[in-house]
Amino acid sequence: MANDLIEDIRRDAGLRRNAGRMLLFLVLLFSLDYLVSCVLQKGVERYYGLGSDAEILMVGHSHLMLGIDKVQLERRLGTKVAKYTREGVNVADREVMLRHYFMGQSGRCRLVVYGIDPWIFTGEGLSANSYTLFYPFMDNPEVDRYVHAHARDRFDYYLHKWFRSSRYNVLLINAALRGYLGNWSNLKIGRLDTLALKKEIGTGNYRRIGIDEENVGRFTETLDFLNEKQVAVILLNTPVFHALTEVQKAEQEKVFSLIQRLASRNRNIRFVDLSKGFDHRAELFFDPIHMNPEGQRELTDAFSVFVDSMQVLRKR
Amino acid sequence: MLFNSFEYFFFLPLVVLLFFLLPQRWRNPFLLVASYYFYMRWKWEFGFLILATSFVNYLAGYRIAESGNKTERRAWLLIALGVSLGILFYFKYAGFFVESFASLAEAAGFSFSYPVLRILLPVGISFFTFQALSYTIDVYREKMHCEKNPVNFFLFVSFFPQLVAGPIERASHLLDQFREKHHFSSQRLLDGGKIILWGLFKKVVIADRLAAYTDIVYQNPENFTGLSLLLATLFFAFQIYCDFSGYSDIAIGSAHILGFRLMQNFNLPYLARSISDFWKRWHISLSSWFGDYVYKPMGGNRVPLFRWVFNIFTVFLVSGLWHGANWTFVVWGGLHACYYLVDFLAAKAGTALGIRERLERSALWKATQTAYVFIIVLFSWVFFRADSVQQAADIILRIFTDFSLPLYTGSSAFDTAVGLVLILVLYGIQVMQYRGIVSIYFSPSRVPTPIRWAGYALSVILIALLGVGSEQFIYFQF
Repeated sequence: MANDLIEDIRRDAGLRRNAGRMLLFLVLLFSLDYLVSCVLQKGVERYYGLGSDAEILMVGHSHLMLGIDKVQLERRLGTKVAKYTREGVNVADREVMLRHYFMGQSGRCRLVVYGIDPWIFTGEGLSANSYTLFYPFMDNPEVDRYVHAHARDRFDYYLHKWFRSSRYNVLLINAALRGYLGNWSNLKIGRLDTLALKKEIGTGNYRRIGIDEENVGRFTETLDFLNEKQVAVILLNTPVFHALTEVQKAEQEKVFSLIQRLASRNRNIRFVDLSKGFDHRAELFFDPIHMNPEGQRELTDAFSVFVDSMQVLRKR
Repeated sequence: MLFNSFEYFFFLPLVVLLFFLLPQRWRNPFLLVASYYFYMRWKWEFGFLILATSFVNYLAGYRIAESGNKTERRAWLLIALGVSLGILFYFKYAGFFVESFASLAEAAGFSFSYPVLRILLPVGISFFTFQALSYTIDVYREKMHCEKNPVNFFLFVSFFPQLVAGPIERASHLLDQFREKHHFSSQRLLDGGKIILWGLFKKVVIADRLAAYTDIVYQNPENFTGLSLLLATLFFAFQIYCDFSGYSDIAIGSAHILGFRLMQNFNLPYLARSISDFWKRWHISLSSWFGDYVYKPMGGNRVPLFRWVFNIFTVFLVSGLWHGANWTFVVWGGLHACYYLVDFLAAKAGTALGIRERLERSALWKATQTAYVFIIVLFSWVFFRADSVQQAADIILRIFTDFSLPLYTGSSAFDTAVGLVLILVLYGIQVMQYRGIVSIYFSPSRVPTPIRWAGYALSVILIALLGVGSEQFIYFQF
């Protein structure tokens, strides 16, 4: 059956040369892959403040990312801040992010600022692909075990294990670049279009607030974990434009009273709602849920005053 | 099965290995089975459509070749055309024509209810229908002998690399290759692999990345400023080019590894210097199909001026309709017909004034021509991408009248900036290809080997870093 193929291979004058080229190509590919991934990983770690000796850690998604300015906060409080915020991360992802952060820490962290919002418990519970957020850190044995346990299949795992560039995407490249440039600026320049928002809300086109028990469970586990780490925790609600929450005020209050109840179980945890004084000012928003640079500046000012008043950083 | 799926990157090596392992007589039947598997992985029922189209054209070709009677030959040609185009019409155009007729009747004051047709469009139906028909017409015109071996013919219609989005091959070019013995070649493996890599890069790194911005803006164009709409249209121009030429490259590369030569479908179209030049570089297999089977039979340019203008419009309007059942495609085709005529008149005027040759020597003039062609093609893409003619008109109006800020920077400004950089990189590479520095398909390259191979490695890394997950190819819907 294979006679023709064997004969073809025997007659192929360029086979040896082409096989050599292919081999060199693979060596070049994997060397380049290693180099690129090392450069990107360093940048990503700098951007998220992983492995840093920060006293304050911020964990959350884009609300917190665009709401609080790390550099301004550091200047105001005179201490280092790590900002480990990633777009679209849910409660489960944030728990893994916290565990990941504390894996490599020497214990200098004293305050964790955990971003919350009215939709924190909305959703379908655990995200099936949360593990993909941690691809870049697979060299860490614990992260590797986590990814291995949750990967969709073996192919998915080994592809990212052996082909290191596949662990990154455009968001992480952006994070790495910003890490090297030391740039944490909010670039969402623009102002919320309130008329368009009203129209959207009028047509019922807005995200509903809900409570998923699985998410609540995961949130409780996260608070327990932080309690074990003996750090002070601020559950920070960053402002959302009022029109979006007023249409579901009752649901929002239900979520916040649940968070308050969970927070009150431990005296190290405080629920802080900074939306008052901000949520009616359209000029501070880029869109209904994200602050623009001006909003971020004002919000960070207010937050730094609050943290300063807590005196948690001067305790030890 | 999508070319940009992991599944295909297991499928292709397996097919290549088994193809060369099998004895010659089993290779074509094996490719036929593999091709049907490739197509039916999407929706198995539609495999019967290719089967029906293949069967009718095989039978018609056989009967036409066997018969000495002109009437009978013509009858078989009409049967093949009727059945093939009937299937195409039912699946692609029935809903469109029923709705258009109803709108027309309503405008004339009649009112009637009609069934809303919700027919799922089989991928690539226009491609395999046109490919099969080219064979039957060529046999009828006695330009080629009929293919008696059903396996070869059915494989010609369904050959998996070019089945769903071309290039639309001619029987005289591809069918003969199924009779040849193909030998494994490591050089072909590398050359084909390089073309697949370039095609994949264009598809998943450039086209799908630009699609993210374009889709958001074109979904609700009323929410965006003229500048954002212009940027989205620019992105679409490169998205559709990279999407379609990327598919063609993967098709050409895959077939090349197996030892088959497919025709080149794109040749740096955005560097064209006239509209006729553009159409010699864009979707070459379709333009030449329309040239051979529609334009020339109508008399081509060997007819009086008025009739020639009619021929040009017919070809471009039908070509527009080929792309989709929507008036936007008809307008798009009509626009290109107008461009073609303006081009023709400008060339005539240049010759009459005696300035054409002088201008042709000027580099600035060449650059101006390229920019002009790109801009008018860009303008036509608005109709191609918009959902309706009204929406396209609104978008154009905004582009020309609304210069307000802010410019929408996409869901991520960085992502959008990456898109712009990729367009510049692509354009740079194309200019180098145009000047013969970088190879295009199998042409020689003047770039030193180590740099070339580093470029290939970098392409793989960029696919991993910037590649966007499995988006379907735009031209599948045609």
